[in-house]
Amino acid sequence: MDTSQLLKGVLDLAVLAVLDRADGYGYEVVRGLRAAGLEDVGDASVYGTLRRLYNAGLLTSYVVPSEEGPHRKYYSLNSTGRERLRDTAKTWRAFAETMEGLVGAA
Amino acid sequence: MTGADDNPQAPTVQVAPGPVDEYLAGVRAALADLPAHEVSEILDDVRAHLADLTDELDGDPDFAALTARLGTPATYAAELRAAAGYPAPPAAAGPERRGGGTARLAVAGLVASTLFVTFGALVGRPEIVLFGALFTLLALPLLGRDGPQVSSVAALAPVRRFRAFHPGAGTAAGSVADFLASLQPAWWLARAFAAAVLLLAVFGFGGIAAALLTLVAAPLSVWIGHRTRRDRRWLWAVVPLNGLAAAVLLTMLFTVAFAAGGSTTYASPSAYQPGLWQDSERQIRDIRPVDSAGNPLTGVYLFDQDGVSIDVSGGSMCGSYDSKGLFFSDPAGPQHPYPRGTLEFDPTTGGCVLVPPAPLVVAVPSAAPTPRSQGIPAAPAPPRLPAPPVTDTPPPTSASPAPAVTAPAPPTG
Repeated sequence: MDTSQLLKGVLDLAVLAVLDRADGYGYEVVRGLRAAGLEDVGDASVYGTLRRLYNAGLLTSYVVPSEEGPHRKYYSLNSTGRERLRDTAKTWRAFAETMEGLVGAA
Repeated sequence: MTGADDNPQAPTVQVAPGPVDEYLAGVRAALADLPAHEVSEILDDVRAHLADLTDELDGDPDFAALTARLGTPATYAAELRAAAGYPAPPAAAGPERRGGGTARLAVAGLVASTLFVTFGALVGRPEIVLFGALFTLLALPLLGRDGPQVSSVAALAPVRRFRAFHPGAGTAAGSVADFLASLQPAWWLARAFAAAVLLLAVFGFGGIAAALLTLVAAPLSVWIGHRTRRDRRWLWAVVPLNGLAAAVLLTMLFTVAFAAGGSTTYASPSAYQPGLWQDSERQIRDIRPVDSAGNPLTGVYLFDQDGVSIDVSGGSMCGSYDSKGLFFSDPAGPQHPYPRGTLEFDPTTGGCVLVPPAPLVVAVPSAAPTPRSQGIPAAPAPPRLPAPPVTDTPPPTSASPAPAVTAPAPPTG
């Protein structure tokens, strides 16, 4: 199965988890996801997800001048975002356990 | 890139402007239906993204390299749109959607304004007219932004369909459309007249001023007409005012029509005129019966087809005296046999005097088929021949049927 289908449901959680480790600008988040093993994630999907989470009030952003290029807009989890991360992570664990129980014998 | 412009420390050129700008333009076009500030922030992100990618792609990627890495701009935009939870792009082409909202608002304002102004003028309520004029304000955001052709309105699908519909030349619809179009200058003059009438009604000047004002308004109206053909933004002022002018002209038309209708009914006096009238134009004030030989008859009672007595006294100038009873027993009044004579107003006395029937010479038709008068064939009957040809038993006092023929005498009182 194409992992991109699975990714759609958990991309929010993945992005929140990456940003929970450290603030980051858009492409950093993309690289963080790839480094974690989600090679199939699309760049535009990550940028779109960041915009949606930001518009939903889960992220704050700040601009850092860069010596190498344009200013970088860094995203950071705020308290609402962290709360959302905990909730979603809980849901994910329960779901993953259920799925593991379901397919573990396969 | 833009970020570098206001940061002197940053190298000004990290990315070759060509492919990146091209890619950005493609993404921008694909997101054109989104709110402008949202698109602006997205494009900032994409610009930064492309700059980071450029580092990863070793400096100087061409458009193909960007597309190979990210997909086409449209694909990128669609993926971002889906992930960000924006609504799907409308099925129609992007350009129409830009400013579609303000264009629709402007058109709605135009329609509402025209309807209210016209209706208000028709019912004669200035406050409704002014209220309708406010609706044109809805078009201000559009008119401030669009050019003379009001392209965003022209791009609306219903407007495009309307403009694309041209009745074929030579067909009936085509010739009607051409004919109506040829009437436009006439309408320009008509609305100038309406404007003059309206201004004069508001400010209350006289008729001369109306004529002068029309002379001034006519060239102005024609100029506005030509101007509107070139600059469609004028439509938002012209169309409601056209409705106002049409309402004024319609109101005038109805007023004139009602006045004309009133005068025609007034001009037909027969329905209201008392007395007996011949063909509505000749009043019959007395009746002078003669027999078939032309001999004057007296003491004659006349009845119509229903047996109702015929009375000519109703139309008398002195009729009002009758109602007071002054001439109630007068020989010219009703219930008296013909000839009665006529009642004439006497200026010296202020009253009415009875003028007895004057001697009269009449021509009796030659072929009068009276069975009892066969013996008189001559057409010009000698009128004063007092030769009663037939005299049955005369019932002088009888008021009924048989034409009573008595000796020639002045009417009895």
